[in-house]
Order: sequence, then structure tokens, then C-alpha cells
Amino acid sequence: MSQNAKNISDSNISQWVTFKLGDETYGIRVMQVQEVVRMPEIAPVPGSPAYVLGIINLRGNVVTVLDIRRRFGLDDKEADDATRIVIVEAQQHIIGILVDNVAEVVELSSSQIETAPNVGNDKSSKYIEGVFSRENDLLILVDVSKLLSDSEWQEVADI
Amino acid sequence: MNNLHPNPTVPLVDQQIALSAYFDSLLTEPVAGTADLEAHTDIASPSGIEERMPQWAQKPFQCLLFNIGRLTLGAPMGALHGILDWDGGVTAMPNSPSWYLGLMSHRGNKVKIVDTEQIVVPSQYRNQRLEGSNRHVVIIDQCRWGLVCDQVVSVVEMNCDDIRWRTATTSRPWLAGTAITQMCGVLDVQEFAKMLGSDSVQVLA
Repeated sequence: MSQNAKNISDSNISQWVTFKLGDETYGIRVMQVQEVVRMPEIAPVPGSPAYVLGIINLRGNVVTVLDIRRRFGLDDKEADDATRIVIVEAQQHIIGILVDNVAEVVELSSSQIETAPNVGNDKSSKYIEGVFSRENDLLILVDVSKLLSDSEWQEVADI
Repeated sequence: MNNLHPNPTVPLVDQQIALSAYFDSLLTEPVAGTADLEAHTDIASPSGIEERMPQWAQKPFQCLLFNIGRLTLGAPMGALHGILDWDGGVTAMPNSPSWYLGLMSHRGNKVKIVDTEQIVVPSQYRNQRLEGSNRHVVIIDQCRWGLVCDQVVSVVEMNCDDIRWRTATTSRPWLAGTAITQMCGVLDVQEFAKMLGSDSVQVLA
């Protein structure tokens, strides 16, 4: 492969951090992930919106943690040893999302990513970037920046 | 992964009768608005009520009979793209309506799997899987949708006289009519897929 061709090929490759929520595996772009931390104490914020779990102290910085389970319409789950908070940067905010566990980093080429077929006025379609077929399941690729609406991002900023 | 209806139940023959009555009532249910008259032929029934026969029924056709719980439904084989054994495995998509179970890969397609029972079976007759039945998925609409059913019963040859077609004023256009001998509803698969792809899917109360 020529260097030029390799560069073109590399530009179509994206890396995704995969995590589990319930039985499904999701992925978010590595570029959006800053770090993954064990579950610290989450302090609830009085009067915060339902999609906010609370805040954590991350080395002196206050980070808002989103309840992604609620956003995805999933039932609550008790935290355990595998529970992690993925610290991501989206819409110029640093936020945390609570996940059941973090699995791995996968490399996908753009040709492997398919548009997720939506149904009706599927609310999830705006933040699902696509799906990737694996041997036994599908990886659901999430655009974190679209998890919240503009006004919701503003609310997060005001916490 | 989602698991449907884990509880086997005892047979209740009178409920089959009730379900037949339910479908019969749907066939004559009036609805406001103008129905889509394409792909249908109006025919006169002995009762004088105008009936609408889909074009696919103008020649003898094979009809797949399948069970959803204790409800039997028919669907013209020509409109189906496959029937798969199904172990309940789907990738559930976040924030989906309850009737949309998730995605399943099938021959390179992402098939949207539908809990058919929620859409076609009234709530009081749900969760009544036949004992020992294995679930299947009936693939329709160019592999866009998969309809979960509990049991594939048989394939029967039918012609237009074997079905009491719905009237022109019937709501739920996905219900083409009732097979007279089998006493079961017959799906208009195209209309069912059209309904699934719209915003108008209703879970039956």
C-alpha cells in the first residue's frame, strides 16, 4: 500500500471506547473520552434535572455525572465493582457518564459503521451515530454531544 | 437481551373464540377519514357492505398461519422474506417504544424486531404462549421488519372466496380480513409494514 493510500485508509479509521449498559454494548469515540475512573462518591445536586445523577470531585474539579441509563430508558442498577464513570468532553463541557463497565477500545473503519434504522419518531436516533455488526451482537455507537439538547447542555453548565 | 413471555399457560379454548370475535369486530369497525384505496379492489359482499380485497389475493395464494400466543394469524407467503427460529436475541436500542424489541442481523440486513403481540393482541389475551412452542421471526418488507410469533402452524392454499375481506370503512388497514375456515385474521403485510414505519403504531390496551 502506498503511503498516500495508507493515509486515506487511516483517516477512515475511528477508535471507540466500548462499555456495557445492561445487556447491550455501546461505543463512544476515543477522542471524546478523557479518562475512565472508578465510581467515587456522587453528591446529588438539589433541584437538578432528572438526567443528572450528581457531581463528583475529580482531582479538585467538579464534574457533573449524567444518568445515561435514564436517558436510554433503562432501569436503574446498583453500582458494583465493575461500575465506572467515563469522563468525556462534549459540547465544551467535561461530564461523566455512569456505565456498568468499560470493555475495550475497538477500531472501526467508516465502511463498517451502518446507520441504525430508527422507528417512527425514535428519540434515540439523534444520538445514535450508527451500529457495527459483531459476531454475536451489535455495537451501538453513541454521539455523546447529542445526548442532551442545547438547553440541557446549558443546564449542565449551570450546575 | 430481551426475553418475552417466560410463563407458559394452560390452554383456554374460549379465549380463541374471544379473539376471533375481536378480529371480527375490527373488520366492521368504522373509522373517520379517507382510507388509502391503492392496491385494493372493491368487491360487493352478500351483505351489501363494500369490501376491499388486496391485489395479492386476486389469484390463489399460499397463506402462512402462525400463532401469537393463542391468536392465529395468516399472512400471504408472497409478502414474506423468511421465517427464522428465534432465541430472543436482539440488540435493544435505547429509548425505543415497548413494541420495538431491537435490531437483529440477518444476511447483512439489520432487521427491526417487533413484539407483534403488543400490536395485534389485546392486553387481556397476552402472555399466553403455547406450551413447548419455539418462537420465530417472520421477516417482511425487504427484511426491514421481523414479526415475533410463537409458532408456525402451517401453509394453506387460499383463494379470495376463503376470506371475508374487511370493509372500506375499517380502521387498522393492516388487517385484510378473516380466513373463514381457519377463523383467523389475515394480515395485509404491506399495510402492516407501512404502519410500523409510521408514527401511528399503537399498543393495544
